[in-house]
Amino acid sequence: MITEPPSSPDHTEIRDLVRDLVATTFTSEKMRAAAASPLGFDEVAWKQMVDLGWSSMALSEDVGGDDLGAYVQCLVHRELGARLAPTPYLSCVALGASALTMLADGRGDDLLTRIGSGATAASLVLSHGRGWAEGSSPTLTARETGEGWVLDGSVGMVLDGARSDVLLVVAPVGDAWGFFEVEARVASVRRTPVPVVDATRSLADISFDATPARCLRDEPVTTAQVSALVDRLAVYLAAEMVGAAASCLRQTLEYLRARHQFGKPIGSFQALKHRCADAAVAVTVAQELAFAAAEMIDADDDAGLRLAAPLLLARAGEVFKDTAEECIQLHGGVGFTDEYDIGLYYKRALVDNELLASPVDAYARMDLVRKETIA
Amino acid sequence: MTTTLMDRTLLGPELPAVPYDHPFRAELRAWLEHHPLGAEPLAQDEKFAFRRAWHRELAADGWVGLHWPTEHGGRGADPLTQFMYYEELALAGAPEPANTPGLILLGPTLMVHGSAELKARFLPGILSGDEVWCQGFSEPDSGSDLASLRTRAEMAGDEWVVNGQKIWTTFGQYADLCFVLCRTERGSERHRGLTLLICPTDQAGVTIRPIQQISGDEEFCEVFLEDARVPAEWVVGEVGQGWAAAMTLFGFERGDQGYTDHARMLVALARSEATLEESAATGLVSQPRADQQRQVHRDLWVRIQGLRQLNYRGAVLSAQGQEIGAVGSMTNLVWGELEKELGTARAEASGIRSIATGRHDTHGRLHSRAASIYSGTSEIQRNIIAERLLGLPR
Repeated sequence: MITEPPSSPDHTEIRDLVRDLVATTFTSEKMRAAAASPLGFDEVAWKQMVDLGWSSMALSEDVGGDDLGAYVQCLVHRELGARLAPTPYLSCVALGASALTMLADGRGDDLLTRIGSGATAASLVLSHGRGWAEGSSPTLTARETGEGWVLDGSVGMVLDGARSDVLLVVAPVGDAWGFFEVEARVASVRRTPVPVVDATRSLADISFDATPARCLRDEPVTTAQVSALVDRLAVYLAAEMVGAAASCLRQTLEYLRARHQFGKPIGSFQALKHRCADAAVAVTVAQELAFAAAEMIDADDDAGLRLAAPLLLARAGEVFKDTAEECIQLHGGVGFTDEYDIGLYYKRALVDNELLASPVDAYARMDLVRKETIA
Repeated sequence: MTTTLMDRTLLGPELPAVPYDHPFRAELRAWLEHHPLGAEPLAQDEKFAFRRAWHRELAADGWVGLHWPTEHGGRGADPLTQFMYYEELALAGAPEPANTPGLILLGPTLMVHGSAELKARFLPGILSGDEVWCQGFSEPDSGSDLASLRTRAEMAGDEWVVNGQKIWTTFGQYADLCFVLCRTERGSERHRGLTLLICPTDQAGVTIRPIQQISGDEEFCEVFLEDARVPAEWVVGEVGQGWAAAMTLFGFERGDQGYTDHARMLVALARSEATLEESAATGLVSQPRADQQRQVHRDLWVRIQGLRQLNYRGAVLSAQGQEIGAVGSMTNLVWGELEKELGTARAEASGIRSIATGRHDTHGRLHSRAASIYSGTSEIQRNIIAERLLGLPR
């Protein structure tokens, strides 16, 4: 927005490459067509993204990645968000791969390699639904039988849950958690797509009935580890929200420069200008918070991220929704028609504000961490 | 006696280029621990004297004007060091040094536009705090629209003779010297034909009248110039090029990391939070009011974290030698609005007590109403952002 966090030549080069490709691949028409297709995304575009290494850029080299870090991956998320690109990138590369990297003890490496190469699409299923794990109520159970682990129960509204090959499940085991891989296309897994207001995102309810699961880690996963995973997911999701908010505002600024009333561009009216200025400042701050948090991931600053991630998720969510609402109003009548994309950004904001944690819940998490930090 | 410094975790997550274990922070912290401050008085004359003493104490050990080049007595500190400097001073509860306008605005402007003679004559006094400076820009009919100013100066013999009226001159009553922006070209309009002069205040042609504020302070003054005399060579930059010099000064004003002081705000907020809990415990503030105020405090904390991140971006960009004009307009807008809400929250934390006079929180709430007005109103900042940064038509 007003400031641009990435400033190193490496980062700006990657940003420009990503931006150019996303702009041509996800024009308004193509984005809408992909979202409306049976699969919900454009397979050719997705393959192209994989071929360019976007799905493996942040993975470590021993699983075929480029080890470029979270900051660089956030550049991709931001640009995909800017065009509301319908792709499995968030569910698979951010959520799935992060869970495997952080929770599996080496047993997930084959899967990581396959995610990186685009061979396998994986979705993350948190048995407590969404959000940070402390104090949550799981709706799934995992138990060990003579033939191995099995899962029972259901989880609602899983991102890309209906179209993934593999489900990565965090489920309670005793006082802690287990981390499991489930083959999605088996009879004991029921996946019910739930159409949502934003057609560019795909969600599904999932239930398990004595479903066999492969345990990806011997040691129990602690609640703190699950929450650390959520911290990281929050940053990737926030990067998409920030990109979308900025893009929505940019399109609105273009409209305000072009649309004339009373013989003047409507963007010359101070009442509208000031609202744009406020929105631009809010988006700029959210973007700064997002890339600062991404830097914390790359610097292994877990303590900083614990506080920064919920703050960021709440702010990015609020700012995206507020901006989208403002942009509809600033467009006047056409703002609430389906012919303009502005309404699609609003719908994306509604969905993104629910995916991981609502701003209120993220703030509650932030309060908890702040209390601990100060005490 | 030593000063108790507040814990850095209060500032929020650590930022990579200004780590909490940075040797500079340790050095300053060690100095601050052995230079106790005492409480800042509320009454203005005493407060200014307190700040002047604090300025001298800092200056004696080289702790002011850190960003000034070493040739002018500074340390040539980069913006990231400045960022840490302000954070540590805030954690110590330190007041502003008396001559802050000189240090951050007038001195640096003089370094850019002043002659070698002017620099040699004036910079040491700014740094030591021996000469206090003020700024004479705004006029009664030229506030947000500064370029319409009418104060004029003409050469008479080897002196400028200045006539006109300035207003909103911060701490003019304590100042020895004033930067006066005036029209030196007869018939010139707008930003052409202006010159920036250094005017001594201790002379018959200069009358300084403090303006009493709603807070009871008299921080701003009217300055009446009636045949005020200025030596011919006390011109900052070229004659007729005063607008450029003024713009340089505004750049420093918008860009200074201390001006948009998130750390001081975070310290004030932490104190306010503690006060609120005390008030809730004693029943001074009811539970519904306390609950609502806790939300207000949290919202402020989140937004000040945003300001901190903007200031950090500004420091990082400046350290890389990049222009930060854009960041400056934003920080100014964000800061001004936050300062008012913080002033209100601090007062609300004490419930009915906050209407009693003679208290810092009472005073602070009234004082904070000026924050979104001086140094460019929030509305002017929004115009700048919309027109210059977002490209909306004028």
